[in-house]
Amino acid sequence: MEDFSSTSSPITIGEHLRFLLPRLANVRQRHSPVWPADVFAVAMSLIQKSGIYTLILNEWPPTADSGETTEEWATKMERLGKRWREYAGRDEPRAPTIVTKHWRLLMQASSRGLDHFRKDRALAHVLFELAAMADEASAGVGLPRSPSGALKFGNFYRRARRQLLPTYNGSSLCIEIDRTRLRVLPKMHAPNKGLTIRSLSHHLALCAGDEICPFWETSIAYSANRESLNLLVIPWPETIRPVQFKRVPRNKSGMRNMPNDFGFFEFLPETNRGEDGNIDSESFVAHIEQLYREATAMLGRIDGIVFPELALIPEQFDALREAEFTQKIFLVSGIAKTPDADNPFSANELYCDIPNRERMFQSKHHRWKLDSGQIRQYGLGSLLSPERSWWEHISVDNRKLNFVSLLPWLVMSVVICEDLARPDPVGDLLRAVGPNLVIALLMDGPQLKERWSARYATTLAEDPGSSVLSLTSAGMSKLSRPSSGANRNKVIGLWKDAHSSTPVEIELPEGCGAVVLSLSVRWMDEWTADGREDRGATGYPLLSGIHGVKKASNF
Amino acid sequence: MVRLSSSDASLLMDVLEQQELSPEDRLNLLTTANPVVRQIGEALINPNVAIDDPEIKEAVESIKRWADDTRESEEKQHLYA
Repeated sequence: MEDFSSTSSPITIGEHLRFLLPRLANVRQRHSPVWPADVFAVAMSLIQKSGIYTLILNEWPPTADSGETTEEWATKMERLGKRWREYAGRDEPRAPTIVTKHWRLLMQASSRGLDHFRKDRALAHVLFELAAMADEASAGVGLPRSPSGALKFGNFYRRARRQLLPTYNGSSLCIEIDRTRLRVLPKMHAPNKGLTIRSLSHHLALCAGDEICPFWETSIAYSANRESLNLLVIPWPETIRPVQFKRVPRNKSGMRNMPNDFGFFEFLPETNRGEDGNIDSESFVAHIEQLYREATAMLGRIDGIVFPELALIPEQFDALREAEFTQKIFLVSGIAKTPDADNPFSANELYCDIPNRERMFQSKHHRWKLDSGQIRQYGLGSLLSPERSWWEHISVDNRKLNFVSLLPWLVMSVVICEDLARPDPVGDLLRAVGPNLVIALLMDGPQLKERWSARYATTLAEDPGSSVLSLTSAGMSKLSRPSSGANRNKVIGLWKDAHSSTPVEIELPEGCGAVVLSLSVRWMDEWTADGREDRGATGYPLLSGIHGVKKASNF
Repeated sequence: MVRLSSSDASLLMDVLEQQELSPEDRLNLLTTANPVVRQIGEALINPNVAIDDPEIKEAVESIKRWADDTRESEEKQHLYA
């Protein structure tokens, strides 16, 4: 075999820099970026690729000045970050002198390999300081901020907000670094377990460029004074019949060469229809309104309504959005779409609708695979043979993830079922950003502490520290039969946050059609691995109330 | 309900924020905005502007409420100072 080893060579610092910033190929264009997120992307990606973040615990603080304590260093980083924030907001933006000096040192090492940082610790410290200053400069980006233009940082936040506006390929805070190369997003949690690249920053998250598109939306609907939220959680539909799981003929599946051990199924949503055959959305909306009124009478205010996976069809969601009682609240639901002439696949999507904003859409990223155990669990054996495995017949080619910034303590992300369990690629993004609240919409059995959703919720609650709500429908929960033990199909939801020792099961009480979950914020200190504190700026939504909501009648 | 895109919402925040500008300059920020966004922006700059459409009126009120509450909250917390 021909020997190719002589033609391979390790990547150099300069090659990596030129990949991110092609302008650096021109010797006259080698100046430092002035925008903090661009510098953060460069410094953090070098720290990650070289693996030197593990050094930080041995050389604390990562300063060139050996006489400096960790506290002094952290205070200096904060001060320089604030200065940078002001400079970057100017009409002629610039970076502080220390940034440009550090950048020059980095450029001087362009021809070196990435392993050079392990030998030249002073240069490693340069990277740590660039990342720390950029992180401090970006405190509060991506959060709903007041229109206080008189503040000296108003221009910086305005620039950051515009930069974060989603385009066709999502959002990023970087100005110079293209979204297809690398992204930087706002960050809500610095994980306090283990040591990864994510342990090094409070406010900025380094994310892969192109595999999945993150979309960042900032709400201007909810008062920042709000320290709690009431979510009306409706485990709809109340009944699911096995016949709604339908086998897809092989010739329509698009995968004719698939082995006989596998097949495809689709889920057919059922809706009430009037005598004319049209969907009867009116009675559905009336039913939800009754639950909303009951919940509002109990708690004074409802801020959002959440439905599980495949709960509604688009016509129902539209009708609900148009209703007067939903005008000031957000709506989140899993949406089922059946195939049509243009698209042979079913669609399993979610709609997220916040007041006065265009609707956000997101498709499920992974197909559900029904195996023999699940076919027996849900009693589907006469429709789908338990001798085969059945894939959900949906298209998975549109992968995006929405982050909705609702309140200064609440960035929310919603995922659909399998997307909670499969760590790639959505998991990397969730762990990087660390949204305060992750809602998983499920089509699943009872949400018991022992089941899979609790395991994955616990993982996210530990690292990055997100609070997680999983929700299934009463219909699917009732369809589920345990292989042993008591049937606990009233457990339609599960809550796990970083401060609860075990997940909390959420039961739908007898005679109730919904549950209100009250979430309250707890402000906590978080620390980065380089010794910087965020001074209690991290909000943890904690479960502070569960109330059943009586329904007037069976729908 | 008025439906604002991300860039519409951002533009309206620009209008609200840049209070150091004259009303005319703030109005100029809305030059490229669609008629609904422009109407909301004008009402945010000048509270005396009459709005007939109840949905636009509600959007203006909602944004004003948000702006006042958020400013008050940040002042209390001395955030980002």
